[in-house]
Amino acid sequence: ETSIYHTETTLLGISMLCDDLGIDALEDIRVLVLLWKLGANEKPAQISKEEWKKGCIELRVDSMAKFKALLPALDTGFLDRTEFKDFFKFCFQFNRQGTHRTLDKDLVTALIPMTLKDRVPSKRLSTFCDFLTESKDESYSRITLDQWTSFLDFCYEVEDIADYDEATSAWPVLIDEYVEYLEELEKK
Amino acid sequence: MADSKKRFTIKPFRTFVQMDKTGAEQIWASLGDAIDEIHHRNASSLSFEELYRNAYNLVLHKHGDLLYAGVSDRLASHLLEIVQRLADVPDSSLLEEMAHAWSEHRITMVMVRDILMYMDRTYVPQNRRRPVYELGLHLFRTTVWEHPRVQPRVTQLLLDAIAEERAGLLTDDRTLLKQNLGMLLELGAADASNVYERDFETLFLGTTQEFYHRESLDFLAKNTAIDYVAKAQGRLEEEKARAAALCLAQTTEGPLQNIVETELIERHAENLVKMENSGFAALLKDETKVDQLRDMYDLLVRVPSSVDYLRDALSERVKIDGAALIADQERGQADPPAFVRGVLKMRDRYGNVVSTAFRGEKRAAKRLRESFEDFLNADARAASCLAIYVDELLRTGLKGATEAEVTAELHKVILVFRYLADKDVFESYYKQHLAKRLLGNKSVSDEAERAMVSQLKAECGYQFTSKLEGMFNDMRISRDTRDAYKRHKKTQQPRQADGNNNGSSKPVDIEVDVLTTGYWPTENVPPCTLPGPVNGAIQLFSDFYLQKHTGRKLSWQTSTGSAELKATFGTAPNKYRKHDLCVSTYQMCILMLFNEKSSLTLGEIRTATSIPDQELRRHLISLCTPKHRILRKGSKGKAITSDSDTFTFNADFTSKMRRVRVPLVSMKETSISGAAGASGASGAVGVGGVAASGGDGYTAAGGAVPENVEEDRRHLVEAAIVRIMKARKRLHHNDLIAEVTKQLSVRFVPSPQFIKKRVEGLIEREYLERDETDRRVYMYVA
Repeated sequence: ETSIYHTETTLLGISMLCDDLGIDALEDIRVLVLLWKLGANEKPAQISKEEWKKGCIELRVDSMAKFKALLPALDTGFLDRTEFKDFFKFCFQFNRQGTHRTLDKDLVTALIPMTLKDRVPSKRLSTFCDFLTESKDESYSRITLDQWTSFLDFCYEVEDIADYDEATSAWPVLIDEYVEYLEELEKK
Repeated sequence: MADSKKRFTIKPFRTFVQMDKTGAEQIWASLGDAIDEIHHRNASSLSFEELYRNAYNLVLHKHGDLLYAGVSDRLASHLLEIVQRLADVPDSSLLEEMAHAWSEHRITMVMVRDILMYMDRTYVPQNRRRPVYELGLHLFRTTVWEHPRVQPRVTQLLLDAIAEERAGLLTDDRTLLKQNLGMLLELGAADASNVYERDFETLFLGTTQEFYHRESLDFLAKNTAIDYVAKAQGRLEEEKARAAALCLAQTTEGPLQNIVETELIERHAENLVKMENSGFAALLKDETKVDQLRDMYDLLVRVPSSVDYLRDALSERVKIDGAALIADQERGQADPPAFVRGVLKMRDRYGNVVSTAFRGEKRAAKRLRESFEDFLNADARAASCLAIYVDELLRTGLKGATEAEVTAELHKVILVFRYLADKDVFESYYKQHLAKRLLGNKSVSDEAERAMVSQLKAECGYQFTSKLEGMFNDMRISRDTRDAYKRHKKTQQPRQADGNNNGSSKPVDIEVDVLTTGYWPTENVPPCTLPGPVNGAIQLFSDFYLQKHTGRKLSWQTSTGSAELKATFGTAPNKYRKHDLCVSTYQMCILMLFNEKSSLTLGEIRTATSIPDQELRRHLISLCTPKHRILRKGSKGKAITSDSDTFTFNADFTSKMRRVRVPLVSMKETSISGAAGASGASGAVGVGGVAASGGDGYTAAGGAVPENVEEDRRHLVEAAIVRIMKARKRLHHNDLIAEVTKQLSVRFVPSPQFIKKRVEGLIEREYLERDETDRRVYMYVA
């Protein structure tokens, strides 16, 4: 099965794999989990032959059947906070375009709900995506890795925004403004 | 018995004879009588020595108890006599009688004590008894003072006497009061009772408080604050004097002063400040009332916390006046120099208030400074107004001033400069104005210019001013270059020896200033299309210059410079009018087009000249104003309608003067003084950009920070962050913010958010990263 891939496989190859596995390449987060576990770190949107080989060995998969058997274990619920943080970071890195260091806002608003679905209250996710979508700030049309990972940390650490202290916070300005947005919402 | 004159003989040793009770009683009886005599002031008939010896013997023979008891009884009965008399004495003479009784008693006790001194020294301590004198006083207290018809009355009389004094009624001699009070103190000291406190001080302090509480309310309700201050000071001194005169206990003076100050000052401090028309806050509005302010301060400073109200009032006043100045400037009722003059005036005035009224108090001075900084730094407006003010000084204001006057005026500028948070905004505008002055040769004097630079250098360090000095250098070198070029041109043979001036190809005369990029404010406007002869001249100069300085590059700043055009108007052959038009470079480019065609559209002009649109419109309009209608505009009204709007050469233009200067209209509707725009010395300029002619540089752009300064700030903050992180390797967010702010505060005050944004940028570019364990800590990425 490994021979069907050449030096690396791109999204096309990955989606073929997904078809074989019977999962939706675009919507199912387990795709990303799988790629993460396989160790697709070298370049975004692809996995190299070495990474693939190494990953398969580590995961002990050498047949489609074994892959299918693996699927349940790819649920993010199994990951503890530290592991999930790492996975979340991977989601960003993998979805970049080429050598770009940022993700487009639209992609972010699609990925956030998908990746954080069961770990962060849905209200938080929806208001954040609304905030991003409505924002007219030029600099927010692309999101940096720091902003991405900070959002997760923020969701973990600040459950109640009444606890939020902007003056001494080292959160990115994006988060400061998001909190302001939430405060405005609360007033209404 | 008078054996005292006997010859001295040595008597044989006498064995110790016991004294029996009867003997003792006999001796005591004689002593007792003696005490009576003393009490009745009949002591002259007594022999001190005999009495002393009797008492001595009694004690020696172990009859101290008898003696002591006897003395005690005898004294008590005397005192009883006294008090029974005193109790019936009327109020009007009670104090006097009391004082008298007291003084008599003391005399008695001194004598009695002397007689019984041996007992005092031996029997008394051994048996832990009160010493004789103290015994006498103790008995006086319990018997005489504490009599129900004595003590209450005396206390009341004392308090009444003081109340009368306070009411302004003349009292009799204070001596009586003093004596009575002194008595209480001594009585209290004698037996460690607190009779003074209990029977006088407490009540006295109580009545004092009531009195001043009421009086201050009454007075304040009917009088002005200033009258109140005088009255209060008067009362305070009065109380102090009285305490001294009456010899009140030291321990009373403190509480007394406290009470009076609390009632008179602390309770009413706020009111004194806020009272309409006469309060401190109101008086601040009147420049002539500084002495009264000082009187108020002197009163309130006795209760230090009250001065807070005064400082608040000062701060409030500065805030209000400051806001008014800003409002005037915003509405356009005051131009920027007027704003600065207003600030300077305010500074003088309230500086005087601090040094006179607040007696130079440091806290007030600090508060004043903070208040100025607050209203001046609400936005960056003050910085640009100050720059305009300086420009005015250096163009015209300092004309004819002596060196001392120049220094003084420029120093005032520095005083305001110190308040500014946005010093870099000032620097940017100042530089722009300086560039215009240097190039337009508009400085009132070179010395004044240099004086300003040296003051800035003293204030901010050489880094602030090194570029400015570069600008001066460039001007000096340019002059030399121009001279050299003139000489050079003479050596060149004239090209057209046939004298035929084909105007469109012969190069014109130009004068060039060569500026070093980097010193001068940048404009970055690409050059427009210049007329042929001008291009030719430029070429010649370039050749000359670049030969001398190979490796350099010249870029021509067509947005500045001026030109003189010889223009011919009129239609009929013999009615031609010649004028010399002094115009800007752009105007020249525009007008030269009309040599070929008499009418052109906006679009055509733009294409032909490549002048940026905003400037193009401005320069065109200035050529069609009623006063200088060299061109006629097609559309009606002031504004240019569209690209197809036409402009036609106006041969009917007339002017009384031969030489016509065509000024530029300002960008804004409301023009500010002397908008001469970008006209420099005649000639385009070379290397490096020059003074922005965007707007006329005179309007303060509503207090926003100009974009170039904003950009510089971004760079400076990033550089500071990198520098700090490189040194510290690892730093907490708050510490980093603090450190960056500190390092940059000489130029401007970055907000924590601004710094944070730069940090984020550096994280993205991988100069920094967050600590894995604590996201508030940043680490330098090597």
